[in-house]
Amino acid sequence: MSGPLLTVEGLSLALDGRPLLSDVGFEVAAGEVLGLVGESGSGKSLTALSVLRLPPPGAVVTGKVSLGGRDLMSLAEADMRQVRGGEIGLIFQEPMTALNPVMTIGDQVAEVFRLHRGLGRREALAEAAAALARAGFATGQITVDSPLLRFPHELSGGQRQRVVIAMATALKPRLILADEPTTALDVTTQAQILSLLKSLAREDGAGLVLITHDLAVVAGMADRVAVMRGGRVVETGPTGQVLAGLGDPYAGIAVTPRPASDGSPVLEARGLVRAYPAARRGWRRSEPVRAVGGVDLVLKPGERLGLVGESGSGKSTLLRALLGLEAPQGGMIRLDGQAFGARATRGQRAAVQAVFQDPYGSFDPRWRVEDLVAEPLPLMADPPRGAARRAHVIEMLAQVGLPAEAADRYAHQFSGGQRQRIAIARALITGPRVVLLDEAVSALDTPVRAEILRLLARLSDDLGLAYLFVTHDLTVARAVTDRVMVMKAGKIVEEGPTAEVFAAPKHPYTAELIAATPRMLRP
Amino acid sequence: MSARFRSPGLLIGLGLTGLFLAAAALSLAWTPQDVTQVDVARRLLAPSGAHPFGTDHFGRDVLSMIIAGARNSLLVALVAVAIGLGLGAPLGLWAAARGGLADELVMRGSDLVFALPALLLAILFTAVLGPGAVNAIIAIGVFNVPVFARVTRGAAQSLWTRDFVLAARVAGKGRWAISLGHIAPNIAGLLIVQATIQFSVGVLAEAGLSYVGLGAQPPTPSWGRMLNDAQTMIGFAPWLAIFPGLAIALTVLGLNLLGDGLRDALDPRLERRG
Repeated sequence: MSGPLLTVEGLSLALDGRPLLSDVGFEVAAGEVLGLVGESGSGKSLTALSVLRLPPPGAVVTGKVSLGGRDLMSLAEADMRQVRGGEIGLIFQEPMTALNPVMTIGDQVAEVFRLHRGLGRREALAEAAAALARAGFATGQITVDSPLLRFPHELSGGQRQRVVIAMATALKPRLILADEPTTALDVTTQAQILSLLKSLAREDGAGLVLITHDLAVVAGMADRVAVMRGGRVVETGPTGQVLAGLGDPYAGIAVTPRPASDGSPVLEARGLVRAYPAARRGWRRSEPVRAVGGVDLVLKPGERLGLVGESGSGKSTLLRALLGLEAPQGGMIRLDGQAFGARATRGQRAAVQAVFQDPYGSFDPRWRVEDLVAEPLPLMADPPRGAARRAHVIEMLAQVGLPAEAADRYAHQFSGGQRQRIAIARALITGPRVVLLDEAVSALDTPVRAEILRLLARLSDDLGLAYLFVTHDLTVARAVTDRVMVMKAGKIVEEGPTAEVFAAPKHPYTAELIAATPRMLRP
Repeated sequence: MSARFRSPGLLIGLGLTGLFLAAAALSLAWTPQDVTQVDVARRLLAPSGAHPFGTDHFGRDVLSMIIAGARNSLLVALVAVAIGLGLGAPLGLWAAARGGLADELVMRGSDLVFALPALLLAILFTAVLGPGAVNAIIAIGVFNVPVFARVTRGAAQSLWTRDFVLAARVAGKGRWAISLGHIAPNIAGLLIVQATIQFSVGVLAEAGLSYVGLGAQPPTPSWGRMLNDAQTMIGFAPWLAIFPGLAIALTVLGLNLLGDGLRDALDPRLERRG
């Protein structure tokens, strides 16, 4: 076959008169993997939806999209339906919402065959079994515990994504669009899903468009990369070349290893236990779930400590306990040697602040930035009021690199990276000594993430802040921490200076995590 | 933004509700004729130029009584909604903020009230406390409380899991400061929609209570009692039933359309994203 499989030319999209995509263009050849990279809001997903002719209601789309020489924009809706699913397979970020919760996965995959090929129930189920097997499910005979008869909620996140992939690739589409297919998954699962996607695409000779905010994911997968920013494609080229052009995004952040301060710890936890009551079964409750099971943690002044683990390992629960929001069932937390917890004093709370993961969810949409940033101020002994309060907020905004005008706007008027700057300003306004960062850069794309990390490193140096970086991303932990702790199922399995842990992991789980992490630059 | 407020249902709802409010306001100052003025000589006149909606068996102008009746409906329904909102919303916020026993208490309490047939109990209330507009207000208002408590609690609960609430807690804010500063403003739209719908339920309930003689007492004009009075004369004076019936139906329809339209316009889940 000659010529590209998918051609997108001059694709523009406007909603309510606002241009969201302008002049987007790229090509994908059969058997090629194109990485479509950009931060959230850069228009990656809109581009994918426009290719499928499924733009949000009210959007005006112009431009040219052709698949194998056929113009998709002028196709009748009935034909377009055959293209979706038939010729273009789509994989979404969150497999739980992409699957019907009340249908068994066998029926859901079979539905694809029934709708597109008009097969009967029995034949369709047989095809579904084959498709699921291809996606890594051992289906075997259709018995009571066959995966075909399971419901989506009975599966793990990775397994669900396999079902979605089975559905998307069931009809051997010529093009696969994968929109953040592994963002909701753990590092180890992510590696498996990515290799599955790549092998399926290669097997069928299909083109694969991999949409992601994570450059590292693309580095190991894509032949070519298109970088999107603000609704435009700003750069296209072979993966190696584009990534080399960007350089190591974390260069220069790498902290000069600090001499281990031998002062007393600023924040300290001993034998911390935090358990949740288990779900009720009838009248009886089963054993409580131990989210955090006996964790010791020491944070010295000015230290940058990483806490690494996959989702569900208890990181966030530990963090809430350390913030003094939830009382632990066992163990104790001390701040400067004083007991700290749910009954902390205002002064104590002022010393421990936090930045949260979701730059979209961590601000009240109805508050102006000035009020958002000033929210923790009442924790201070003598909080500034009126004009002094505003001046203080503006000073904080300047410290994180935002202009004074930002104070009068609302959070939704800022990009993801700017919002995280606002969140940092809010965390710093009380002059804390410890800042807990809960996946604070996970939702950002790589260059913005690097900027924020650089900002955090500078602030730590200037203000002598101690950080606890809670993250699932080992590259981040490696770039910015002095010491790292690895958490699994509520326990710390390994702890040590960052460089040592990464060079020679002692616990098998740490080694597994390191091996599964996608790397920006392959050695 | 403004495009979302231009659905036909919302506009019709706004028009009908506006008419209803205007009639209630107008009746304070003026009605075509005095509704307390009895003129037996002019009784049971069919609709004509002088009496567009006809006259009743006491010779009172039906148009004037409908205009004046709007005020009574409005008053009863509005105060009943205020009772429901004023007690229900804080209860819902409290249940969501405390969780545990407080939540159980509020939710099981509202289950209890929901389990009882509202209109029948309202009849019982007014029968025991005595008929009259004030008791009708209390009876209807009591049943609005759990409705608002539930809606508030559900919406507040989902907001409590959001990161900005977590940030407020880290900022040392207490439960009430967060409920009032963050939760309440973010669920205001939802409560406005619910208030509109409860308002229409209130109009209907008031009409029902006065129909069985337990609402506002004569000579205060009331749509429900007008229907009751018309019952025996429906064969030869149908206008006596048609016009108050239409007034009730159109008001309830208008308020429901307004509520639905507002929900579509204010619901953040339907909001288009850029």
